[in-house]
Amino acid sequence: MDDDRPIFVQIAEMIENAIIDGSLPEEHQAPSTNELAAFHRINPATAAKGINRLVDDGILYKRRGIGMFVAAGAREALRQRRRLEFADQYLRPMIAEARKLGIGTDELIKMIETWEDAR
Amino acid sequence: MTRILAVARMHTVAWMNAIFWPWAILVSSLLVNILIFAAIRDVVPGDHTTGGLASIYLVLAINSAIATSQVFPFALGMGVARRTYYLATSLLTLVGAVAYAVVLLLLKLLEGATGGFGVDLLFFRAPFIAVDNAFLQIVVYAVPFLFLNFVSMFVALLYLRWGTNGMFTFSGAAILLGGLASALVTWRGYWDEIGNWLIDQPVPALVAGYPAAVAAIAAIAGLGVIRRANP
Amino acid sequence: MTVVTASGLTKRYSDVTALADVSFTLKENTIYGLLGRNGAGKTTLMRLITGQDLLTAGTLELFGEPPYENERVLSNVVFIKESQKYPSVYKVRHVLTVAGQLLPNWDAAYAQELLRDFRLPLDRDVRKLSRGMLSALGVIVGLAARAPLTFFDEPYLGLDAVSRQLFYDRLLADYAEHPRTVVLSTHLIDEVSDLIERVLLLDRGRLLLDEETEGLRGEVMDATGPADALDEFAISHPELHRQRMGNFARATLRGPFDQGDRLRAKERGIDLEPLTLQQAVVRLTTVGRPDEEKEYSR
Repeated sequence: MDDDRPIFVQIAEMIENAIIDGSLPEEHQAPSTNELAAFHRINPATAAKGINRLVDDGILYKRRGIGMFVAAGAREALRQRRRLEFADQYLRPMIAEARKLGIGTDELIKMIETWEDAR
Repeated sequence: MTRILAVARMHTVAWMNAIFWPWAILVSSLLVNILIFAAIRDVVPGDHTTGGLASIYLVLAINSAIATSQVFPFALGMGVARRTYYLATSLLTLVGAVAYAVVLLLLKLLEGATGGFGVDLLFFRAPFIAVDNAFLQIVVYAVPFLFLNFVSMFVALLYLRWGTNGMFTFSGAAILLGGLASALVTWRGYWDEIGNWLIDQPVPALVAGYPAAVAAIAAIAGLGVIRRANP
Repeated sequence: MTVVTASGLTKRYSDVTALADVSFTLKENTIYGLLGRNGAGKTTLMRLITGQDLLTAGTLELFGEPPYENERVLSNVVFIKESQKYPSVYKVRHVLTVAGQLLPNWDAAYAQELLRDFRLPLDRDVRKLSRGMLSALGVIVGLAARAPLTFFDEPYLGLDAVSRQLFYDRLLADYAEHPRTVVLSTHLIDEVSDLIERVLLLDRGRLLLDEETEGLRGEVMDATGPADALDEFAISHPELHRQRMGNFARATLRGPFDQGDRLRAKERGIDLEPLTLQQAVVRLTTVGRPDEEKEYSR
């Protein structure tokens, strides 16, 4: 658990990551509030808040009497959202740092390609 | 009612200390007395009086002080109101005093029937505590328990509420009052009259009557002290 | 539903003011952290709520009524003290028997389970228990009581790290099944920071904080960088603490910090580092005592 973001946000992100990478498929049951609380050793209310955020975002839905399930289309929806955030989260700081070091856009593109080839 | 029983149970749950040991001490005192007098009966004929009975009274008085200093704070921590604790403990003391008095009466009868346990021992029939009437005997046996336990609890509560300063103040005041009273009596030459008056009192009044009154006063005073006792 | 309401609560002992004008409410089914330095007034506060002591001024209600000598509301509370003393003639099983009779929600089977978990022998005299075992006994009574309002006043100080974790795990598990109001008073803030929903921070008898833990997380940051840049950056945020080293300075600032803030910081060469709850609490309670700041190192 990081110190700089609320725990419920981190919980929500963990579940989102699991959905995106496929380990938690759509229409499958998500971990319950109590399971999350016990596993991460956090307050159940905090875990519930994380789950509720995902319900509000339409990522999870509730099946009465059974629990929380991953909504159909959640994976794609999350991918789209992350793509939009990608530019802001990763490109902006990268370009700012590049500018600081005097690396131009073309050089930056070359660096990315070289990096990719070398892997 | 269940709450009162539950609090009383706090005193008896570790029954080894609360009940078994005081009687065990009494019985060993009795046995020691029997052995000694069996050994010397030829040298010292006649009835053999002993004050060994006092042992059980003293042990229980000490237990009472210890219980107040340990069980009371524990009870408070478990959500018991002070007056509930006091009521339950007082009732237990009363019931216990009567129950023990009945047992002592039975032992007294046994002593009588066995000729002082074969050695003319006056343990339970010690002169100034033995009376003829069985009912009165129970009262006479019970009152010292009440007197000692309530006074002991009162003093323990004084300490809990006001600490050592409180104790010293109380003792100081008691000694001062006693001193003033003695001075007054001496100055007015009342000692003879007091002496005569004491001799005129029937034994039960001295052993049971006045101590019972003091016990009652200590009981009421204790309730006043405990209400603001915050250990 | 409100479990405790305190308004202007004040407690004075002859020459010492232990609590001054403290106001807050405790709600049902919430885990609270009652934090503060030694002598801040935590134990005094708990004693007032549990009817062990009488307040000097203000009002206090426990389940809607004043708690002193009030058995009806006090039977819904269990208060496990640091260094709890039991009657010296008791054995462990006597403590449990008595607890079972005095606490209305007592679960004897659960108590037995916990005894096994903490490896506490039933027949041991309480006089002969080690510090750790005494703490374990306190924890067991506190948990098995299932009281709607449960106070733990650092009862786990004698427990080793493994037993403490066992306590936290058992507490969480039981709280999930049987929600109630739990107040953990502790110095070991980082250990419990994930468990507590709200923080009540006392300092020198006053209530400094009454907030959601989640709200505090990421709200207190250390900003380190060139002194001038820092000065400019710090204008928009309340400052708790400042340290200088030559041209550099470090300031502890109170957020919230949004994306814009973080960007500005980065652009000006200021490093923003979140503080743990424990560090934040330490900074908050050291404010105004510059000579004591040296005691605390990051």
